[in-house]
Amino acid sequence: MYGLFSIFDLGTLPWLLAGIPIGLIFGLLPGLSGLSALALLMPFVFGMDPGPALAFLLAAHAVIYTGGSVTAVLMNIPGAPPNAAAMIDGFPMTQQGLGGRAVGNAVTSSIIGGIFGGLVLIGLVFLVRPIVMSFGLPEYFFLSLLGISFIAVLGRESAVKGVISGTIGVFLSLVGMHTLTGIPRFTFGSIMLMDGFGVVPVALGLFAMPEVLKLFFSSGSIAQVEKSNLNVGVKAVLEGIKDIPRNFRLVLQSSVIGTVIGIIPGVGGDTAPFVAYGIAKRTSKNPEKFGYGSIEGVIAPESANNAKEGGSLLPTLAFGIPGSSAMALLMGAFLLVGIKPGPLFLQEHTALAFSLASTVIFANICGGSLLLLLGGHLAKLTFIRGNLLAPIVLTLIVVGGYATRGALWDVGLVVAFGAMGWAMLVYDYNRPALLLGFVLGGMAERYFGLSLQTYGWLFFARPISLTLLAATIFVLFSGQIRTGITGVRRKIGR
Amino acid sequence: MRFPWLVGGVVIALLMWQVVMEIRTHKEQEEEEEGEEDSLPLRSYIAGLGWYVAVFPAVYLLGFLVAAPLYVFCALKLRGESWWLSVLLASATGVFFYFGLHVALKVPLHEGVLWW
Repeated sequence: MYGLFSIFDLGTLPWLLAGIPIGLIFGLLPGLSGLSALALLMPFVFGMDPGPALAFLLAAHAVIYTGGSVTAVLMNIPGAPPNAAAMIDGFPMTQQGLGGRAVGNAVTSSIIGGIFGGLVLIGLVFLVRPIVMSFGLPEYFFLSLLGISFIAVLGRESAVKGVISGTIGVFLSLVGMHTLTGIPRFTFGSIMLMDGFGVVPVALGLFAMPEVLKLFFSSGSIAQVEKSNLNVGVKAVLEGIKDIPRNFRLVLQSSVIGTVIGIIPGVGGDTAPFVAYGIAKRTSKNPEKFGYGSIEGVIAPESANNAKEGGSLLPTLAFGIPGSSAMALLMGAFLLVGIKPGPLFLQEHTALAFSLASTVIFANICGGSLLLLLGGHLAKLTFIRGNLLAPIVLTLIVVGGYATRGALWDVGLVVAFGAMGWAMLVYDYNRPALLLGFVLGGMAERYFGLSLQTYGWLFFARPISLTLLAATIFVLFSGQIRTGITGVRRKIGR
Repeated sequence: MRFPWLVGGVVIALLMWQVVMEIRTHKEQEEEEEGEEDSLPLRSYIAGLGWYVAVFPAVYLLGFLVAAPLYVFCALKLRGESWWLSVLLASATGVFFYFGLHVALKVPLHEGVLWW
């Protein structure tokens, strides 16, 4: 129990508090994601004691997606790729002059999701082993497939266009060296393409660049309502906070989804917000409002986004298996301060394990509260003329694209995918679906190949795999199933 | 190697389906849209695109620390903003890039081939 409160020690608390604003800034700046933050901050902790060092890094990482949600809903630019899901409904809210309320929705649900993930970490850290060990290669494949199936749910335009976008995303994920055979695919002899396309340049290009182009072309501001109708400032943010108790079931549902997906290593938590969004849309009483500024469409992904971080810490600490790529980097930090995560870690450093969980909770509360105080003022940025914002935002996006790998090639990719994103915007093709396909496509292919090699064609004949397959079919056809059931009920009623 | 061709084949088939559907609906929409005018002249689109593309050679040649404030200044001044606002925002961008990104956060920034 001491571990839970050890973050308030005088040696640890200042570092924890220092990490929070740094993480928020990384989140707010497009392209500077959790991975970049950890990579840049790690050298600072060399030689430090484990408690303060890990509190600093984890506090910074825990609030990145909270910061990213603000840029996503106010400017339609994801602070980090997982924030792209919140843009689908958050930005339409901003365009309707409800930017303050959108920020209140996004940040508050992020706080609660983060707290939920931290509490699950505390409760399950010693119990999670059988859950994680029951997931094998076939389960990872079907989980990826389940994630891809949400492509059909994401968009408000035709399902065919959504599937086209998602499939193009899957195709783009296949560029580069095949992980199983080592054969380069669609690299055209280029060394830079051997690694494929990075997710940060793709996300920035698809989402951020078209927004910049719109700002260059427009004479107005991001918010497309008169200033007298604006909904910014503290009152607006409070309105967004009040939406949360009214939608608490959704917050809880999405936090569970985020935590579960975060717990499963190898899937990548980036899909959690999209899955949560898809399920929220499928189970909502007003699914037709999704994509046009539904608060449920903001609450669901952002709850899942922060909850997944607590979830991904679980296998990292309990088994030494990183729950996400950021956790892989965090494991490097563990080794840097002389600690090896895994089963022995929990026995020898129980207090530290609990202190990391309370770091996640405390950082989410502090970072989120800070953003809620500033959120109303940040929302006023949406009323600045596009001409003023465009060049500044463009330079930030470009440096975000460059910073991940330090390669100018990525800047070129941002510009190129920006052109693609603009075309998709003009012709009404679903960009989140493309990103989802891109993130999951390569993963699905890899796990499919490995499952086939290991288990043969009957690899799906496992209880969890069959459950996931059933869930995938439900996601794809739930609309038709519902229509069919309603039709049968009417006939019976007559 | 077959999987990419399978995925590509699905994309092409769906795109062809979409093209056919759009050609069918396009003729109906043409008559409705005849009266509408494009809200922005072509010159503005080209200028906007030009500014969008210009950032890449600027960063490549001059590096982030020089290109960012210079780009912001040029993009604002040449698009009709006042001198003081252009200088102010360009300076703020330069200060942020240098002290915020380069010094404080130690974000790696390309230095520009012209200075090599």
